[in-house]
Amino acid sequence: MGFAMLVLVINMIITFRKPKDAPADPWDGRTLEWSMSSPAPEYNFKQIPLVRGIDELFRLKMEGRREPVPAEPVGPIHMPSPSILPFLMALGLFIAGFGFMYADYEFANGVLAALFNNYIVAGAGLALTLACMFLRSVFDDPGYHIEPDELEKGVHA
Amino acid sequence: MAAHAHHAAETGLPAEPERATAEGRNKILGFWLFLGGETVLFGCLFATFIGLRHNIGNGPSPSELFDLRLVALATFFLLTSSLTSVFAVQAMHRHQLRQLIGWFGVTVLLGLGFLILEIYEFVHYVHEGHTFTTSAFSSAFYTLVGFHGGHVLFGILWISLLMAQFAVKGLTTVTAPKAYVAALYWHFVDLVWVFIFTIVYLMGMVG
Repeated sequence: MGFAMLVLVINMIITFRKPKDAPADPWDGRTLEWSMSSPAPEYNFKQIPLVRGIDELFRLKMEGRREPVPAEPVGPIHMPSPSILPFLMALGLFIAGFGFMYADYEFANGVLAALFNNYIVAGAGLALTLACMFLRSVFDDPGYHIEPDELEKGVHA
Repeated sequence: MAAHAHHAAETGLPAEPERATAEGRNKILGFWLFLGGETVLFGCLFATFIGLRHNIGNGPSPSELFDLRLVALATFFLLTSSLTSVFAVQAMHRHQLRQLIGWFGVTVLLGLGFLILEIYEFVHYVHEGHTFTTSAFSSAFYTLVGFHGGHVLFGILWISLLMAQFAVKGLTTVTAPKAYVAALYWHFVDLVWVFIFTIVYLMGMVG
């Protein structure tokens, strides 16, 4: 398993060093996600595509087209604001799970013993998750809109 | 009724404000998916409990332990709180903010009553020698019923927070879906209790 992980890490390093120049549709795909440019724009489809059946892109290619048929006019796209809270929520659950797992463990180190055996680690993790849920609930995220004239300016992703 | 119509006209909200925006509808759909995950979680806990409920070791048996009068009172509290959460959502559909907050308040109080009874019950069981590590039955019992109690506690905190939000932010198409999904959550927790009452307590009493 260690060797397999090593291969994975080497693969990640090599891929990370290469330029992000993958073509949009390298496998001549049949489904709509392959009609997307690469890398995909942050809003994905500018207009919701009209889907007339399974393998819509295959159907379009048979008709000699590349772009999906739009199902709505071009308009401002509603985007959620970026937020670190969901990540911190998950991190809190991880810390809490770790704390509960080792709550009964006999640590040689006195500080670790005090932190884990008194459920301080578990409690801190739960507190982090609940605090993030509280913030997400209290501060409403209205998101933002990408206006039609900004849509043409290119890709941020 | 004329007063209602007048009030509804004043707020300018649609009849079902929780479904008025795409965000609201998405939130409700996403919450149903979450409840699907919760169903799997409780399904696992129920299956574990049913598999282990006869393995009482040297500990007390369910019929020695349970007092159905206490559990029936707790059940009454929780089922009634589900009804009052429906009243809260109905008040929201009539755009009556104060009634919405008030019925949520009754829901929270009934939930607190349930939780106090459950804590009293658990403390009593521990004094009877029924602790988390007494037997496979006791571990499965505390995990299942305790998880449900944790859900009730979370619901109480959540709905209390929503009451404060409604008092500050008022009833809008942003806040309405929150009340709706909180009520969905409360019904789900209530439904789980119906199964706990049947499978843990009633089946425990008949052996």
